[in-house]
Amino acid sequence: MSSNMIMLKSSDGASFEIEEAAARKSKIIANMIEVECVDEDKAIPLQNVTGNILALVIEYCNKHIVDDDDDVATEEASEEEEEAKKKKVDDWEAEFMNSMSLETMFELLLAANYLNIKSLIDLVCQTIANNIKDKTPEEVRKIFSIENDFTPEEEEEIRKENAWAFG
Amino acid sequence: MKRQQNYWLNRRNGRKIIRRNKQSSASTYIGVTVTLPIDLIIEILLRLPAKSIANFRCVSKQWSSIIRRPNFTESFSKNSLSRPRLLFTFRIVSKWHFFSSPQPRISFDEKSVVATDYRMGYSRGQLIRMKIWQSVHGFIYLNYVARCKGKIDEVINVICNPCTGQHIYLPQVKGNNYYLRCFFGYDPIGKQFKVLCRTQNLFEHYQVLTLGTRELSWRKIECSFRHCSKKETNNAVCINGVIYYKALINNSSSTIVCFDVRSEKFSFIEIEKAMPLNLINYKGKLGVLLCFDYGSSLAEVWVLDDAKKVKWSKHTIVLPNPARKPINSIWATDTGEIAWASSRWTNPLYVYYYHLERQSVRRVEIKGIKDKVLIGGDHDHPNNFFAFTNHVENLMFL
Repeated sequence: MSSNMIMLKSSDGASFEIEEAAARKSKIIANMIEVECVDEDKAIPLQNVTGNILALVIEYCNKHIVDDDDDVATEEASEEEEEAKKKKVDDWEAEFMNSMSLETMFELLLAANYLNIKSLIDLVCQTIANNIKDKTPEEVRKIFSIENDFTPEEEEEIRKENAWAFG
Repeated sequence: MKRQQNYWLNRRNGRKIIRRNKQSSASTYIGVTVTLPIDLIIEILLRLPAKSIANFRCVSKQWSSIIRRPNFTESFSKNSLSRPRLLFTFRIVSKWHFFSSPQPRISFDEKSVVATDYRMGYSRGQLIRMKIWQSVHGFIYLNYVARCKGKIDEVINVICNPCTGQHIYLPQVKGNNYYLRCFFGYDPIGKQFKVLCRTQNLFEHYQVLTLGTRELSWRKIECSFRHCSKKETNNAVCINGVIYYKALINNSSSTIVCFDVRSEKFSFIEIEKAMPLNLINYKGKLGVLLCFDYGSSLAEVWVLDDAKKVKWSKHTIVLPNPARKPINSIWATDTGEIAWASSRWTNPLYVYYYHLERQSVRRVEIKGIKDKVLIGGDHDHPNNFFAFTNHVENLMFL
C-alpha cells in the first residue's frame, strides 16, 4: 500500500514523519487533510503537544492503522480469529500503557483530546481509572491537585451515606 | 534552550526510533502537575467501578456534584451496559453480602477473576429465607422472611440496588398474600421500573406498581387469560421491556407469559413440552433451557428467533458433571454462553460457562470472597448463595 507521508512538528520543535493513514486517526489532522490545508513540504505544527508525547501518539496511531487494514482484508474472519486479534491489540495496548507514569498519562490524554483521537482517549481514561480505583479520596486529591473544600462534618456525612444497612 | 530533536519513524524497514518518556512512577504520589479539564475528568470517572465512584464523592464539592448529575448517572449505566458483571449474594445469619466481579472474558481465557465486595446489609430480626431474582438494569428484587422475637414471621418484598445501597420496600399487596408472586421489569423506552404482582383468592388478580413515583401504590390491571404461575417459578427474565415467566393455562399446557412492561399487556407463548425449564436472556432474545431429567446431563436450549411467528432455533447441549449438582439459576451471558454456579457455597467457588456454538465448557474461579467474609465455623457459613450474570452497575436513585 503506497501512502503519503505527512510531517508533524511538536511544540518543542521535534519533527515526525508519519503516514497519512496513521495521521488520519486524529480527526483534527484528518480535517486539515480534507480541506487541503496541508502543504506537502511543510510540517503541521502542533502547539499543544511536546515531542515526547507526540512520539507516543504516533506509536499508537501506527499500531492501529495496521489493525484497520486487517479489518478490511479479513471481513469473513471467524470468531476465534476475531478474538485472537482483539487479544493481540489488547495485549499491545496493555504493554503500551504499562510503566507509563500518571503524569505521562495525563499529558497523553490531553494530547489525544487536542488531536481528537477517540480510541486513544478511551484507552488512557480507562487506564487512569484502573490506576485510581482503589485509592483513597486523599490520594485522589493529591493526584488531581484538588483541594478538599468540604468541612470535616460534611465529609463525614457523605462517608455515612456510603454505609448501608437494611431494616 | 529549545530542544531540537528529530524522531524518525521508519515503518518501511520495520524500525522505529522512538524515545519513550519513562518517568519514575514515584512522582505520581506527589501529584501530577498537569491539570485536566473537567470533561476529561468526567470521562475518567465514567470508567470507574461504582464502588470507587461512591468513595470519590468526598474528594471535592465539584466531584460530588458531577457524580450526582442525572446525565452522569445515565452515561454511567450506559457505559456499564457494555461491561456486564457477575453479581454474587449470600447471607450469613442475618447479614447479607453482595459481591461483584467483571465478567470473565472468553477471549482472554481467564481462569479466575477477583470479586470485590460491594455492600453488606442487615435484616431486622433473624433472616430465615431469602430469594433473589435476576438483576434488572442494576436493580434486584428480593423477598425474604424475617423472624423477630414474639412476632409472626414477616414477609418482606424489596427492590434494591447493591451499587448505591438504595432499597425500596414494596407496599403491602391487598388480598391473599399466600400465593403472592412478584415479577420485576424495566421499560427501556419509558425508562421506568415496574413490578407486576399476582395474588390469588378464588380468582387471580394482577396489579402493577411503578417505581420512582412519590407514593408507591398498586394499580389493578386486567388479564383476559386465566393462568397460574407455577409455584416453583423463581425464574423470570426481563428482556427489552418484556417480562417472561412460566405459567400453566387451565392447569395443563405449559406456557410462557409475556408481559409488556410499557403497555402493561399480556401475551402468551405455548410450548410443546412440559418439562422443567429455565428462562434465559440469550443475546437479547428469549432462551429456554430444557432439562430432560433431574440429573441428566443432556439439555436443550431453544432460542426464540422470531417472537411474532414463534420461531425457535434449537440446540442440544451436554452439560458436564458439575451441572448435575443443584443449581439455583442458570443464565446466559451477553456473548451467548450458558452460565451457572452451584446453589451452595463451595470453596473454591466456580462459575461454569458453556459455549453453545463451540460446545465447550470452561470453568472460572471466583476469588476474593472468602478473604473478605472469613468463612470458617458452622455459624458463619454462607447460605442462600445466588449468582447472576449481566449485572449492570446503575447509580440511579429511584
